[in-house]
Amino acid sequence: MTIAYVMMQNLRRNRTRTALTIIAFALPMAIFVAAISLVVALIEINAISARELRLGVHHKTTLVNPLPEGTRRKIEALDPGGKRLTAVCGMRWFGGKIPNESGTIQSLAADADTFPRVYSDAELTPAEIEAWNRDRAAAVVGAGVAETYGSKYSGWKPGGRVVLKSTVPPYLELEFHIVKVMQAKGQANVFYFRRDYLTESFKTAGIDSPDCNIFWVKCNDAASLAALQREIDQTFANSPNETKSEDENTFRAGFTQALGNLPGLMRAMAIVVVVIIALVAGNTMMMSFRERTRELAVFKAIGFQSWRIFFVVLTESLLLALLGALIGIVPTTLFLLSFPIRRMGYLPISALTVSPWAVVISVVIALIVGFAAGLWPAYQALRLKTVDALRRVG
Amino acid sequence: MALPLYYNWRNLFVRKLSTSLTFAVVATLVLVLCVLLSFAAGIRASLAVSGWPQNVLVLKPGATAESTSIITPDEKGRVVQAPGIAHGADGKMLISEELCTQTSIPRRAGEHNMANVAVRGVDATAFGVHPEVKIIEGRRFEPGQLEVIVGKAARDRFDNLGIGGEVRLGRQGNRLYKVVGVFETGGGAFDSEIWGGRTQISDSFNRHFISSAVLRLDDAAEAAAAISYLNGPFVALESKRETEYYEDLSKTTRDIVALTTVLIAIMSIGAAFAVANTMYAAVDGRRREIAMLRTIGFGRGAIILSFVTESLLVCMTACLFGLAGAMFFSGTRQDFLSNSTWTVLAYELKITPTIALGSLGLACLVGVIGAIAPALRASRVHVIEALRKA
Repeated sequence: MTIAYVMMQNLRRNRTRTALTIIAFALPMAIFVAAISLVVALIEINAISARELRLGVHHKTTLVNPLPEGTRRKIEALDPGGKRLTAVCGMRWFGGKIPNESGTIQSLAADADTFPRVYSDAELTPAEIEAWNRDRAAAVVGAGVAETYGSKYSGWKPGGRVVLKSTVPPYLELEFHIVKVMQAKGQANVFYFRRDYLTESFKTAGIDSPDCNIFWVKCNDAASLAALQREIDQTFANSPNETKSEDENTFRAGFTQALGNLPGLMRAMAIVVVVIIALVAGNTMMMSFRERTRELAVFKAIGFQSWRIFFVVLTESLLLALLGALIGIVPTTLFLLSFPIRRMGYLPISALTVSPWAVVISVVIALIVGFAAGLWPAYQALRLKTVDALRRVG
Repeated sequence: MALPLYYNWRNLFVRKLSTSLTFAVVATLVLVLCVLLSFAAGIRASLAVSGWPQNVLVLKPGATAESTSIITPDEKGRVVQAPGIAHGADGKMLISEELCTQTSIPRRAGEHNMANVAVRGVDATAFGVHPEVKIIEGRRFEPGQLEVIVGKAARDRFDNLGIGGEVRLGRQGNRLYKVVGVFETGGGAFDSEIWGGRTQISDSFNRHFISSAVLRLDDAAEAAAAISYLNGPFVALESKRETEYYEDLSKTTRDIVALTTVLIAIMSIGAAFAVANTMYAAVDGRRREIAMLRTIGFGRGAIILSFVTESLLVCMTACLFGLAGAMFFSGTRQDFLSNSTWTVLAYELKITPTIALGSLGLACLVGVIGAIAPALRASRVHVIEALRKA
């Protein structure tokens, strides 16, 4: 009879309780893995954004107020040698949607010449950059958008043609040629196309409006970013178009507020879940130890060392926690993998994909909880006075 | 004969640790539940489908929200000829021309944390078209003055929007408007907005076209005719019932409320198992005691009742503690960005009696369900065998 066999028998002895504990563990763990996935994904996206060193410059009052196209040259003039900034890319909100569909796609017209450099995380290959430069109607699209609409419409793949209708005046309907599907996490739900195409189409519609909503300044290092942020806002202070510059993460944080601070809610949820499973596991282990006190004493009496008993009790707790965690985590992970939430909409909830990190963290948390829950009973088993325990009735 | 309550009460203190663990699980659950429910309720209230069935909202085709719509003067001229438009007390047609724009306002004094708040420029007719707008403090703005009125939710959430407060509006954010009144609509998007005179707002923001027109009809039954005229080839605008417009706007956010509900459901089921687990263990360890109770004449029913009572005792007390904890969050003001208009909607986390009673109900349900299975089992204990077992 091995120790492992004893432990398995222990779990099987009171099946109802084992099942109850496992389920009470599994359900909160299912929430936990989803919650932590979202948190991990947001942290990852933030880390990527921080590495990209992009500074967003927009109108001080609101993003809706456009800035003149010439702002770009004034920003570039702050660093003529190109020591601190790599390139500046002006963007204009298009807010396109597929005719007769309800969701608006985050679509933006970007300066064609600088886009590949400012958005190096789009990972355009030289051939794709060439296609982007050659074709005025070229567009790059995030994997999330391509996946969402690709199942319903053709054209959402490299080489395809798609038509979007803008939801902002003058509500143009334009055709685009997709040159790339971006795999970068932070770019899953965006659609970029060339701004000269938009300006040209505006002209055809009788409107001369080459303004931008935001200029993204790609900086060379963090110190330059901080310095440029100050300098740019100073340059435009007291002008008709005062600016506000913020790094990409701060800019995005403003939008994360959408959906009522979901990440905050998820973080809180994760903490509560840990507390609940810890209580459940602790409870079960106390119970199962109490009713087995005599039996453990018998083990000791027939010669098992104390540390072995300690080990048995602790491992049982760990085993329970691990089983519960797996039953909770595996279905949730499979569900999230087969129905990517990013199809549901935009940041931040679209960032909810299961990362290996989230699964690892969940399992580790479950093990820590199992360990903590088993520690006290196991310690008591270690200290157990054989004679007293054997004599006790109960 | 029923077992005395005192028996259950004493029992809880015999197993101090396990009782307090169950207690903690239920209290945490109630706390989270209350906060989640009030969060969902707050959002739902701010999205309350305001509007009137006899109001028709006119936008430019292609625009998804008022803030991205532009209506030119000649389009507006054609709108007037829609059938069935009501007339106000002054004999004027009830057509409200509205200009929707936005500005950033700090959430708290001195903070850099800015919120995008909707600003609406309206004429006096707006109050006839939207009779739900009631001034609860101060007065309406005077046309031609740099004065605004603010929604109640906006006043409570954002900095310096009380009466006498000042807010910078305009494209450059350089026109100082004075807050002269606070209005309430009984929930809905307007409550998070700032309203001012249309000509003033138009001038400050350098916006010369209106965003939307809202028509009030004599009768909701005429809406279909008006809509088909407005959407028809002569006017070629996009019109909807006002109620329909607000319902469409809140679609995504309703998904979040649904998600919250799913979370609540999973947590509750998990907690039910946790409670069942504790009760089960408590019962299982007491077989001999139960057999004893049976021997001295307590019936099965009495024993089941006793265990359910014991569980309820823990759950209800825990629920009260959880509620007390949740009350700390009550009154917290939050806001979220609507993804259709990109302006914020403010709401309040409020533990209403309904939410409190709902949590209490759930705690009871969890307590009963958690206890009933082990109680049934306990009552079935074979008396002789249980007594003999060491």
